[in-house]
Amino acid sequence: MDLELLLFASLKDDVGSPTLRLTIPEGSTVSTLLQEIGRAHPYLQEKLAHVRVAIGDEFADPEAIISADQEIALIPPVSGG
Amino acid sequence: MPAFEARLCREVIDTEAARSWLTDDACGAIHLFCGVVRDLNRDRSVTRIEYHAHESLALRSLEKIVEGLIQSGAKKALAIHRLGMLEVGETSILLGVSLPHRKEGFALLERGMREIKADVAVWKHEHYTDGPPEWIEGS
Repeated sequence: MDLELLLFASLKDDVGSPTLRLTIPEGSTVSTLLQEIGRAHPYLQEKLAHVRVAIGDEFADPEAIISADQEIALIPPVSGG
Repeated sequence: MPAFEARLCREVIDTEAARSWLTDDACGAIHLFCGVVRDLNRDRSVTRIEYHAHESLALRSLEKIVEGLIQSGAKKALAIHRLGMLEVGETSILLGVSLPHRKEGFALLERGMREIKADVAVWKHEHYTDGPPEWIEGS
């Protein structure tokens, strides 16, 4: 399935775009998604170790199954407050 | 009036309006914390900070945090996070709780701020006197 991931903070600068397109197998988990991003974009590998994935308005567990109709975002360590 | 509220805003945070929102006849204590942009971070001179967010995720997280403060004993709880460009001295975050007595309120504010700094999808883009802006990730 084809995904368009939302990017924030330094990830957005690293990729040079607010989104990242990726194709992954149907039924993939969040954990698999991160592995696939790292494989397709090795320069992101180090940061991905600290990235959380949000599906819609909630953080997702590594085992959560992804579907193409969801809004998926890569969330680097936050620094609000 | 609902017991808790979370907001993201791009205007100056009105602390007196927040205090008023938190007022409750049954509460003898209103605790307000304001996080403010300071002019020094990690030994670098900061001129201003631009706050970016995944807005729907950040708002949902803020709502959960203030709801949790109610479940832990606050009578009212309010969190407002400002986004956009802020100058040194401006308030970036306001967290407030009201309770019948003061003692538990200090710990609730500290807990709320700890959770905000861990889970609310907001990032600082810090601007300096001596170089290009940088993202702050993790705090």
